[in-house]
Amino acid sequence: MPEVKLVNVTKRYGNIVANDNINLTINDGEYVSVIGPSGCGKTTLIKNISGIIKPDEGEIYIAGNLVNEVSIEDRGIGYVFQNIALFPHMTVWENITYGPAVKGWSPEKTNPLALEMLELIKLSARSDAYPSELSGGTQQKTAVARALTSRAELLILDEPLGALDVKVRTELRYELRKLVKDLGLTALHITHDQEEAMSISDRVIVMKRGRIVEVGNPIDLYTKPKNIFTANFVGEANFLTGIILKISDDESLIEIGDGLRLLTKNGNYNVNDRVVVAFRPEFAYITHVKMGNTLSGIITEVMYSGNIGRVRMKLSNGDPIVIKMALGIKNHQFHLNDNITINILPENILVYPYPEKGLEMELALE
Amino acid sequence: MSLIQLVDVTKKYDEVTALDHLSLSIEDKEYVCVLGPTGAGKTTLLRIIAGLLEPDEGKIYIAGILVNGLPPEERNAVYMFQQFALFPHMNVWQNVSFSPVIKDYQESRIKRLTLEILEMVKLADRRDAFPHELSGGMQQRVALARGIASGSRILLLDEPLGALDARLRVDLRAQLRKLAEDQELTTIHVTHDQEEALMIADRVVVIRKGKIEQMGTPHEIYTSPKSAFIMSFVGGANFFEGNVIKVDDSGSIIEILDRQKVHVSDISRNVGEKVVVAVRLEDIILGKVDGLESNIFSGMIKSTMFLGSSIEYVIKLDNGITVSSKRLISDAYKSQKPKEHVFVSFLPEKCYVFEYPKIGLLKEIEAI
Amino acid sequence: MILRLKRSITLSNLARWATLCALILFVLLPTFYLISYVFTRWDEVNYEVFANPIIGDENWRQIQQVLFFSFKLSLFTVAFDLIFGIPLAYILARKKFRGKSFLEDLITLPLVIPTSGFGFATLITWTTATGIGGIFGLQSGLISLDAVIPFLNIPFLVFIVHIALTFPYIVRTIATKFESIETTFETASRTLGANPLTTFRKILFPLSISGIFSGSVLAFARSLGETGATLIVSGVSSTASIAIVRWTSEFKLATASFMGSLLVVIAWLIILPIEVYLNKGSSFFSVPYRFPRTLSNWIVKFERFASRKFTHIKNFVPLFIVVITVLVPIVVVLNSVIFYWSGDPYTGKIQGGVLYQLFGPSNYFNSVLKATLTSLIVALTSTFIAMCIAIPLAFIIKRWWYGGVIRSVLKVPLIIPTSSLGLSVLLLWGSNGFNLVSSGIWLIILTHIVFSVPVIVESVIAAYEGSDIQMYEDSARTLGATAYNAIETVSLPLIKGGILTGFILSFTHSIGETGATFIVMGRDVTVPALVVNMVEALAIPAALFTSTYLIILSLILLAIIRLTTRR
Repeated sequence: MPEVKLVNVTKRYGNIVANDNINLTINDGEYVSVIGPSGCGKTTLIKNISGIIKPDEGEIYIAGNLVNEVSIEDRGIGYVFQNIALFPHMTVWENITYGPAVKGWSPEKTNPLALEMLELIKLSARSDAYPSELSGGTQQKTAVARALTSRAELLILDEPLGALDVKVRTELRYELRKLVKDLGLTALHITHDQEEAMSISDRVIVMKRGRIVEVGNPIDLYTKPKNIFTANFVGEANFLTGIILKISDDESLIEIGDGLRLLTKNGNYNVNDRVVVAFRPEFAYITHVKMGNTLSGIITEVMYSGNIGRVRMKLSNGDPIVIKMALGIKNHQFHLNDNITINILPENILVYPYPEKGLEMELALE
Repeated sequence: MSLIQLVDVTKKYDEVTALDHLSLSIEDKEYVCVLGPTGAGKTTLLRIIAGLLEPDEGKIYIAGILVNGLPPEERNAVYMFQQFALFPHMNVWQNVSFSPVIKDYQESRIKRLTLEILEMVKLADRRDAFPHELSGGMQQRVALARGIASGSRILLLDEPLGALDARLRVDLRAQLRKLAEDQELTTIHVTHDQEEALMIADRVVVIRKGKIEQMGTPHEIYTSPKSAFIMSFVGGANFFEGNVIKVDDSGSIIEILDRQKVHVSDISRNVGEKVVVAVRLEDIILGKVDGLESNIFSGMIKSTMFLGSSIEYVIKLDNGITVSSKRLISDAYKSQKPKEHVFVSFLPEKCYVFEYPKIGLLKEIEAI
Repeated sequence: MILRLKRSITLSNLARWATLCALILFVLLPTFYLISYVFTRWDEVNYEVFANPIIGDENWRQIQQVLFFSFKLSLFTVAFDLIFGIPLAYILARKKFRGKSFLEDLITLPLVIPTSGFGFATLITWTTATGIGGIFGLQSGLISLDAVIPFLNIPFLVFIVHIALTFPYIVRTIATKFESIETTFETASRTLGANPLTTFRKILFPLSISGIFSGSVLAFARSLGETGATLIVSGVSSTASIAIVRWTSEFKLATASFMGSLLVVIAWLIILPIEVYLNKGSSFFSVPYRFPRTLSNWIVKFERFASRKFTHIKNFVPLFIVVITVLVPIVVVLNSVIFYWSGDPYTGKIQGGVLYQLFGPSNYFNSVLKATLTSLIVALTSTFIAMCIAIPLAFIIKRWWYGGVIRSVLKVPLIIPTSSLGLSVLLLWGSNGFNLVSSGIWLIILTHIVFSVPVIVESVIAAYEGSDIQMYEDSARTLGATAYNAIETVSLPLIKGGILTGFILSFTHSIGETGATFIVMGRDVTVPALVVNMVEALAIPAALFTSTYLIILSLILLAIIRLTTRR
């Protein structure tokens, strides 16, 4: 029952607060990812949980037991590293059975488990190979198997796909999640790749400067982020500043400069409040009728990525925005300096209070 | 005439052939992405152009001049490392003005040039900072500025975004492209990220095991892949193996291994030939398409995977085959749940047909 | 363009060949000359060693006896070093604690301290009332000079001195190796359920076996060649190195060179297999060894228990050894100078005081001044010449295919006993060889170059490998810097720390070197040699003063190393 619970956990390095009063519960059997820019404290968080470092303050519980004073080897976790860290002087088989061996398990108990793990990662044929003879992806799968052979039920993954090619990365995502779910494990996965986090997890935790900014399931986090930082970090978005012009029964009208107006669903705002309006590039549709929630502008840049077209345009108030659409369904032709009109549904527009430190500070990714 | 020309270049390390009789021409002011998996020979190619490595065989021309044996400093090609390689003992200003100082420009010219470039990359206010005091994104900008200040017309980028956070990469790749264009540079950009390559390149060169597998505009590579490998590596696809059982003017019929028929528009194959049929993820349509009579299969949604701007469905067909379908989140009007029964269809003209690879389909498309 | 290119290639080729020639002439030739000397003068050797008309083969029996003793001493020293040095290296590489840099300094100290001064300090500490004996209220030293360790049959003081002087080689080499191994291997092992000791045995130890071997080789060679301190504390026993000094000073060159050659050859026979094994490229211990499962379970259980209970002992004992062998002698000798300043504290005679001996009729102060001047000139000149050879050599080693060979060959001067080294230089350049230089300051300089070059090369290479020089240089080249420009503006500044460390290590080594200097110095006495002379003349207070003076000089140099390398 490896439920993980952190209560008021704080860790400082000199003047830097790497983990600032973290409270968090990871349920049994849940796959949770932690994302955030470099230096946000996500690595410190898992080091605290695994026992590599000790928190300055706060308590950590694994399966209901306080583990602050329990040493790494007794916490019962499987740990997967970004640099893979397979023991280079041991074969695949020796690596996988290392945990049981140092725990003194009998071969009768170890061998079936190890064979099962090898079977799971489809590597039975190469059990005598040394790590250096395997490709990066296979090495990392072996490392996951190693972490699981001694029946760890809590798996901690520290940027497990970071050292691999993009293509390999996307394929391993599926396998990783499937393995965790099939074995009924609890997993905590650290990454700076928001797409990876969203595709693999039940719940995503967004961190920034040592604090948890937002926690939620991937779809909510992407479509209804509660703050500007999350909205920007989990995927591309357009951010415009505006002022609430009018509030009606369930919609508000926002002026974003030069007479451009957008209708949004109501929030907790008053007329004349300064706000930030955001929408995702793929939620803007090209239209020929200037009716409803439309914005017009000229095309400044066109890029394609496979079947996805990505168009940068400049609104009449000078703000640049990006829109994205799948090609092939409706075949658009885009030319630089063309004037186009886009439509965004009010429910796809997010509104936030204007941040105290300015929008740019809030959007900084580093 | 091309600015950079490689003719029959071969490079071996002991037993491993990193480049195998590779020929490539790059035009002036072109932005070329060299795409390939780890170990394909991408970095070797870049280092050979820069003059940091000498090829075992073959000739390299820059601006029409044979440069084999010419040291890197004479080639006017700047190499940017994935780790940026900013000189740790120099501050931002000294790093950026490195080349002008080495080339012994006039004091006033060095000052003007350096300042101008620093302002261009928006780092003029950090001119006294040392590299370790800067964030990854800033370091990348300093490295670019240093390259531009050298006055070289050729920019060689080795995974220039690889050391940065995933989200930051997306923002920076457009900036990188724009900078190269504004400065009228000829750029060769090495990456293993197909999305990055498709997004910013004028031309993509896909290499594999030291050979060029295909080159062309991103559109060509994506829409007319030459092999199952390209199809799988760039964009990804669903693959079925089968035998051609009928070819006529309207198209071909391919029997996939469990006696199901797939209609394709392609007529270039012969009856009896063993082939691979590939369909892009976005061309797999959930539901029946009006007027389509073939290529409809029933199945059950096995899992859905949310990728942010798009959603991927994995569907297990009744015939046992698993296919994936991908939609932009905004186009996935009706969201499907696992265990739901669905029909899957795809148009014959969206099917690609390839010769069955000699090394086997799995070996051909595997990435791991 | 092409012309300029050709010229620069010729120039760099010229520089390369000049460096390689200098390497062969100054560094490598002497050792090989020593061995060839034995063959060319075999009649003489045979006459003196095997068939002397007066004493027969007495010399041969002595040689055998001394060699046996030397190798026994070195082997036990290394074994002792390993047992306590590995835990200490682990602490230095993996733990953070207050006073760590002080501990590092303390361990490095014997590397820079003049050996004769240090030997003298140890002597005072253990055998006189001014030392530890005094602390316990004894009227004499804690032990006598000829006290012997039971079973091993090795004089206690010699053993202590050898441990103190070889400990840094073991600890530093192994700690560097540990640091180069990523901690994630250990973390992985811990998360898989292994306790710290099991993790060490199964992961860190096999991964760092090459570092443990090379540290042992260095320590073994150092112990074998140690002369300066051993001369002072050996009493009646004699090591091979001391025997060479004795025979050389008696002008029995044939005997001495035969002995020297034997020492070199046997040392090589022991070290060579290890070197070959290490260079084979297998960076880890791949010999499969398996205990029966019950035994291995028992071991793991014990390690689990020990990880918990014995951590303090493991941390404390190596520290205690460092303190007792290094720190205490230095404190004692500093204290004694004050004690003996104006007169002998026990008899009250001013003739037994530091002041009288320095400025009295024997006028040792003058000798100290003269020796200081000699030492400084030698150290500066030899280090400078060595740097001119070593820095280009380091680059050649990193860039040319034969670099690995040169690097291995450079270990010859490092593991050759210093007295053999002195003898070989004397033979090569003196009247038995080129007949260009006779005993004196120039010969000392030529001798010191031999060991300075490898020392500087190693520090430069360490700095070179520490930062990714090749990448920075490649970067500079594509930015338009010529090969020469790139080295000047990028590589040299980046390895500045390594060059400085090399300079200071070589300088201090030169200042403190005793064994080889003793053989080649003629009438130009250096400071450490002066200490030996003083002890032999029983001018203890003067020796005290000179040792203190040397130790303080080295401490200042050590402080400079700290300041330049920390940054």
